[in-house]
Amino acid sequence: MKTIKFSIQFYGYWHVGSGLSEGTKADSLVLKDRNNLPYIPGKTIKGLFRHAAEELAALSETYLDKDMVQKAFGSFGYAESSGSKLFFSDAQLSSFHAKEILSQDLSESLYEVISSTKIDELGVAEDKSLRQMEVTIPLTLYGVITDFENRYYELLIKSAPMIKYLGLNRNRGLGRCEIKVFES
Amino acid sequence: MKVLTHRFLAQITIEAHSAFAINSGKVGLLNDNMVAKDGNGLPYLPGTSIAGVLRHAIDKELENELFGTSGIGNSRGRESKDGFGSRLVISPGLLVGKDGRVIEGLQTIDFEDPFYSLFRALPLRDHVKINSKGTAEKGAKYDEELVFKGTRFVFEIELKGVKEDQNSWEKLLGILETPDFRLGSGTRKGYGEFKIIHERSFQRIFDLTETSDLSAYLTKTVSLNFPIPNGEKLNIEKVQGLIGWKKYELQLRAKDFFLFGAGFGDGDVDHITKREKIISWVNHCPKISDEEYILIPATSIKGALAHRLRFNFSKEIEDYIESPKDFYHPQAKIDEEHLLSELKSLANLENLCVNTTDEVFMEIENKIREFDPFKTKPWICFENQLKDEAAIILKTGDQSEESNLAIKTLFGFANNHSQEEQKSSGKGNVIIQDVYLTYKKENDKVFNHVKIDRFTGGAIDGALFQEKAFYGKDQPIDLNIFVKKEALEDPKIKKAWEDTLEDLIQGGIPLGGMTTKGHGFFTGTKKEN
Repeated sequence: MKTIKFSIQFYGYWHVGSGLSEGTKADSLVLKDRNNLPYIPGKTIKGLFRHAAEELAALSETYLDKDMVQKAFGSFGYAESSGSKLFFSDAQLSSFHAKEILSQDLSESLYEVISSTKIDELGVAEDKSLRQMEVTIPLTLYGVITDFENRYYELLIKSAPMIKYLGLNRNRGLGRCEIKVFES
Repeated sequence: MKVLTHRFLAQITIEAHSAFAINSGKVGLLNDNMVAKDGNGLPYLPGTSIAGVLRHAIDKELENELFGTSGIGNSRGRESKDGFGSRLVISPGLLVGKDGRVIEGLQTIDFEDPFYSLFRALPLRDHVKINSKGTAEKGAKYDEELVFKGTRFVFEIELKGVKEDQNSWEKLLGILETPDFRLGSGTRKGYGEFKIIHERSFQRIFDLTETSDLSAYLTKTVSLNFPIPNGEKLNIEKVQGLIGWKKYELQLRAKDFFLFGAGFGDGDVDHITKREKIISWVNHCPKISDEEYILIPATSIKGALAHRLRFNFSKEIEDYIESPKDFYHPQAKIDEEHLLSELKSLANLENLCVNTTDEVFMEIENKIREFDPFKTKPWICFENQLKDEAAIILKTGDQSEESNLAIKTLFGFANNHSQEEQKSSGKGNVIIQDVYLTYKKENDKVFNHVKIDRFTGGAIDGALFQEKAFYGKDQPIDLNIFVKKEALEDPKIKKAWEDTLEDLIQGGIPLGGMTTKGHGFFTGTKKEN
């Protein structure tokens, strides 16, 4: 059995949504923990890994084995083996940074609000298309993948570089990141 | 699901060829619009802005295919269509820092540094709308923050697709070379012009079914500081970009002084000319100009041209006081004969004689008294004719709407919320560029003025004021104006527009401020293309 650490280093603004909005401040807020610090749920990260692994397996059988991916991340059904074999923790700020931010009460400055509007065919802003979104400033977050069989290690190492962006609007410049996996 | 085997990736360095503003929607302490800034407090180009401009410019059939679309209807409906995500990934454009490296992630920026300190005090531009009488309109004054001309940014575009997408990919990159590829706001008043820096822009097509390409793709991080491995130089044909646009090359020369006001004065005088710093590049590292450049803002030229265009177009469609169209020939006539005969027929006057009693006379008198000429046929007929004519005259009065057509077509128009029309705004079809001239101290000239008392002829106490105008005769001003060809299809609009440019080069349109006391006269030559 193996436990590894991973880091997510962001290169720009990112938005992992909470589904909430806040009146005049923004239409969508990012996910925050009880200390008002950003985090990414393990579920989100697992989904990203799964998507990356499945995409790679579809591209090249020799690079990643499809069955292996299904086994590692689980599949639908009642069979004993259909459960997932990988356990992802949430990704959070390092405890050093978190303490520092909390002690100086800086958590508010981790967030920024950006706005955008739609341009219509005539080249002017469309009515009622203005929206505002809360984003998090570029940070590095850490998490662990616990107690999995050694044979899945390679799969994780291989899929991690395929995840180049995450979160909302990742096709439009938010959430560009680099995920590194290393043994703890 | 179709496997997207290819990745078309380009890392592009672009340089602002004019000042630009991608607004954040926030209002500053000293200005009405603040530009968008990244996590480090430096200006950046949001990915959504680049994506929006590309999406707007690309052919309709490619648009949804590349940029994704939302579904239509529900799954049970017959005409329902599934939506799908974007295949295009666009990174934000991040600033190239003073050592030539992209500033990404969270960095400690030394804002005391001569280069970075610039971004703490970005250029400001003041605007005011000039009304038809040539004076500033009330409530139409605003100012906005801009980013320096010459600022460089790096961004990446990635298209997920298959081999056959090569054409779409090339089309997409081709948009970046067209003259109307402009980012941010105020693109029709000179802002937001960007040029690709070809020696710093690379692309590569990854075939992910090939092991070597796959591992190259996986090792390429999204960090904009790492060039694409084995990337080839961006090679886009430039000529195709000018299709659909007509270019006018004007060369103007000031007759003597001009003054495009900065909106404030300096230690010596009350009004100074607008000046701005620009960034230049030496060995891929930024250098800030020591001297500020004299700025001739496109917005000032645009305002003056629009004003004159309206005049020329009105002349063209004969909409002016006492124009042949306005001249009124009354057609309606009243049939007096008919009216009189009707009146005569009321009373039988033939049987009157000396013995006629008073009653008969009274009766006739009453009949005449009760006669209402306004209810007779001839009068009603006359009234109807008058109404018809009035309607025609009123219709010609609507010409002011028609006269605005040229302005609307060429310079665009704002949304008029009082009207219920849904699409009542549009972007202009004329692109004018800002002009930067080299500033020379010896070309500054202070003009002193004093207000004279109208009765005594003496100077009024406290009414001395000064302005510093710039002597620009020795510097030619190259002005490129692009006009969309479809906007010039109407021969009358075209004639009015070209007359306007003719007026400008003949010295008939003064530009800038204080034109009524002799500043801002230019003459020049014109080339069409």
